[in-house]
Amino acid sequence: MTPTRATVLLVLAVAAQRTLPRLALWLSGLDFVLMAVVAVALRSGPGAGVVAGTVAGLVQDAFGTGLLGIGALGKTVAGFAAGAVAGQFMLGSPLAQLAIYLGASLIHGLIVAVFLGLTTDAASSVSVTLAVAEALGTAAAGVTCEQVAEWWRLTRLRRARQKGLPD
Amino acid sequence: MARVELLQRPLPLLGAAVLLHLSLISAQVTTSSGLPLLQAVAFGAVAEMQRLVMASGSVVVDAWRGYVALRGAHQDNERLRTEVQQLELRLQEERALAQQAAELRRLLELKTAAPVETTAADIIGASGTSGYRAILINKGRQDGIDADMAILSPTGVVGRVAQPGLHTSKVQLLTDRTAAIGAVIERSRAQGVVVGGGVQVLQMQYVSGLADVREGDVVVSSGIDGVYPPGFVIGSVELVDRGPVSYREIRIRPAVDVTQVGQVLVVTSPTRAPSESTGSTEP
Repeated sequence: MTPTRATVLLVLAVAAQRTLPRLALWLSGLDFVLMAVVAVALRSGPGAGVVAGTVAGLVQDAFGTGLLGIGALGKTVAGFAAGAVAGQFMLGSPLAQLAIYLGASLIHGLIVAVFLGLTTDAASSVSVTLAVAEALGTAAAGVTCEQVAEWWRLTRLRRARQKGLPD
Repeated sequence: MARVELLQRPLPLLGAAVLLHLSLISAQVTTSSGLPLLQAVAFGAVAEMQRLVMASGSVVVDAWRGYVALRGAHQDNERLRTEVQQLELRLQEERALAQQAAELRRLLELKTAAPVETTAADIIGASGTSGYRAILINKGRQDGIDADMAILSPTGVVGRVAQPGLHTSKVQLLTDRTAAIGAVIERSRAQGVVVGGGVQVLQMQYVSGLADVREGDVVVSSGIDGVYPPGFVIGSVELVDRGPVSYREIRIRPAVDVTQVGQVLVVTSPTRAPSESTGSTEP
């Protein structure tokens, strides 16, 4: 993935995170920025995952009301982990992608919960069940996006071949 | 190009990013102690590392002291044993010196208490034939010693200078058969003359049969003879008996055992007879 595409993806993710939950409340449980970070990491490696997690996380934190850096830290580590795992295994199947997204979401959630506990009393109100459910939702959404992206890539490729055949 | 190289080193990049985030978080929050979170965490981590280092260091030191350093224990034991032997020897020497000092101190106290001028002398020898008892002291005419000077010890009268030499003098003991000293019973003030018996015994003569004398009475010098200063202990009454005439027979145990004395005092000042010493207790 080129840096431009990665940047566009991250900007779109931040924008989605800021707008979509206003349209539907259940969408507030999904972390679109994290999905974008993992997507970048899967395609460009752990270094890109770290950069993407840092930048996008800081931007997301800056728009939020919490402490600046907590979400970014979680996304940085999650992006690194996703990129590192992606470099070791073939991750073409949806199940493997689900595992990556779910692992990254859990790492992110754990780090955020720990630092919230260290810095504020907010951790006591965090429900483990809800956190896992949100992680599962984010992972499922991420895999869905991956599949959509793959379908879209294959469709474009097919159309390109169809256009090129008469030539 | 540099950006690509940076992305190919994810671990340092991750470390830098984590540090950045921690710094950001720390700058925004403080702990209950008032310290920034990063500072508190860093301090806690450093303190814990220091504790671990100290703990491991103490383990090493204990191991060294407990085992490795014992390699020199055998040599130390030998050295200490030798030192103990030397110290024991030194202790014996010090003990002997202490006894000597105590004896000298008694002499000095006596010298201070005595109303006469004295000079100390060491007993360097003894001589004796049948009935004649004498000792040799290390002071003579060179030291101001003259004939008929009284010889005292902390426990009582010893005798008199019989024959002064240049550096030594011969002392006639009270137990000598030819020795005599004016004496008085301390309790009753009965007067008499104490003469030597040739052995470790004295006789008090010329004591009236009416005099109050009991066994155990202390006999002191009267000073009437002009040789011995008055008031010094000669001995104690051991036996009192009525003699063939009007005098009592009194046996006296000497106060001074010459064999137990190392130093003596020589009375160098003229002896004055006490004015009241001539008084008799006889009715």
